[in-house]
Amino acid sequence: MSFDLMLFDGSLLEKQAVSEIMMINKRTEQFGLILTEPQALELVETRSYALKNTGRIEFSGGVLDKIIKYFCDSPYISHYNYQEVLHELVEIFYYYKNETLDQMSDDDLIQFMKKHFNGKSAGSLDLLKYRELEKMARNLRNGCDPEFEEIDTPEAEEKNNAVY
Amino acid sequence: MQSIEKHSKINKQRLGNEFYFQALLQEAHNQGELSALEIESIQMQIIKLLADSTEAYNKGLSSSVKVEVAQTIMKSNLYTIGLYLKSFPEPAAALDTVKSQPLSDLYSLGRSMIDTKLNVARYLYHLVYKTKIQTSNASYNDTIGEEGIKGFFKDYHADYEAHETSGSIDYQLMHPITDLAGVEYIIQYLQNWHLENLFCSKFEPAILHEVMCGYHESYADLLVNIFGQALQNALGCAMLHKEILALNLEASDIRKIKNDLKNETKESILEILQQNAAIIIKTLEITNTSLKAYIWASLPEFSSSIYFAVKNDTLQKVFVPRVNLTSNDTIQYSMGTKTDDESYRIIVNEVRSCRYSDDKIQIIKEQFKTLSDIEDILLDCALSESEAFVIFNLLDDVEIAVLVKRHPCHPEINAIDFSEAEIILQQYLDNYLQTMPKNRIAQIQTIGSNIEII
Repeated sequence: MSFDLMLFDGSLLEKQAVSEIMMINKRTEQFGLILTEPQALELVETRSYALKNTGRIEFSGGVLDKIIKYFCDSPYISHYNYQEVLHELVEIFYYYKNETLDQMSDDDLIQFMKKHFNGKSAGSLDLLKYRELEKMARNLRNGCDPEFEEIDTPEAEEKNNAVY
Repeated sequence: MQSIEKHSKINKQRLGNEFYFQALLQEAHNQGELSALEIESIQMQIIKLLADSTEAYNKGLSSSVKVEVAQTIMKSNLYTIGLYLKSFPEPAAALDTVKSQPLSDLYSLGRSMIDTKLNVARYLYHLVYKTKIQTSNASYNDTIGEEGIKGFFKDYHADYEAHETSGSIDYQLMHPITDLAGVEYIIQYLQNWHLENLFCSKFEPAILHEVMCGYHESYADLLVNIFGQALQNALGCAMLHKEILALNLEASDIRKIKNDLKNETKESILEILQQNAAIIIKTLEITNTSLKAYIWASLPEFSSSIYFAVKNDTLQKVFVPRVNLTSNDTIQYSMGTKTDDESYRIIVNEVRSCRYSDDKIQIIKEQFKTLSDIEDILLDCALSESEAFVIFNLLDDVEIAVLVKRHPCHPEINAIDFSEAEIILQQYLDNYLQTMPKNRIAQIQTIGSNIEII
């Protein structure tokens, strides 16, 4: 009899997650964004893959529908790139849960991602991942505010003053 | 009428104490006492319990955790359930409970048992602290202090790391605890330590110190057990009909023991040790049955080490002569307790704000009674040389000798190793000594060389 966590069978959770995603379609269809059941299943599989890759484990669903809910009204997401962006966002999310040493709650991290995806990154997932989130994670690890700017410019100084 | 007992194939001896629940399930699985359905149900319940605990761990802010964190929490949960199951007299009854009751209920019962055990551990710590012996062994003193067992009570997380033994527990007991974890480990450790303290407190601390110096002159920095060495020497004294409380064995005594034991086997040495242990128990008026059992349990290990020491001619490592490293006319000087920081700061500010030297001296005379405080004042108050001399005049030769020993004048290394205030104090002391007659300086130097500041 084994007590290895890797034997944890998440198939029940996967089914639940797929049905949750299908339910959100009602909310996202106003933006022209809809996922089919196979697409939802693929997204859930991406989550499992991301969890495994980042050495994490999840016992309840919820993150996928949160990501969809937060990002569905983004001006940079359309039905052309909807599925692709979601897959990337899920992977980025779990990667930065680790990078922030779990110091940021799920909601705060997704909100931060949305703010910078729609803002400075202008819809670029690369800029979001390698610039904004990287900077935020470094700030958190150094005990600074997530929005702290290292660059010594008058604008950055003004922003830092506003943060503190 | 005979009672009917359920026959179980589970062997109690094969169940470890450290993680009882896992061992019970494994053994039940091996013996075919758990069906595939029951195993699946238990596994599902374990995962459900883990999910609940993980959610509580994350305070609902995060839905995922690192696998290592989840594994630690799961281990903690299983340990807690095992703690409750251990309270059943037979493994079969424990297994029936696992099959019939939800694991979450068993966890709750185990969790409340941990709280009770923590209270027991706190009480035992109190006993250990009350009976602690005076020793310079750092591992002993550190383990009893803030960073040691006290750290356990501060850092122990019964909800998520119940199986962990936080705190730095370095002191080596005669009987190491190998098959327990978490709070159970601490309880057993403290019980053993308390018994060792009870035995050691029968002897003068100075005698124990000399015995341990005989074991190794740097014993203060070693991970050694004081009880074991004291008991071994006591056994040696009992064998030679010497005063047990003195624990004093000369080199000739050790040779005599070697001659007496050279033809003995391990078993016969054990018998001899048992006879002498009985004498020790009687002489030292040991009535505590647990302590008696603890002493008896130590004897097989001693008999083995004595047997091999006799064969290898290393008996002087088992029975050690007392060694007095300090000469007889050494003075142990305590600097006394320091005034608390807040009060000290107020007084220093008061002294520094005084305009006249007389007022400063008056405040210092009134407020400070220990040399420790006087030394701080001399360093912190920026006194003039004449003011410092007045303070020095208030001190006797021993106190001056202590200050000189702590602040010797080394002009060649001063600039690198000492603060400015320390250099000034060294110069004041040096100048003050030069104002004294030569015979008094010699007397102070003699005192200084024989003084041990504690």
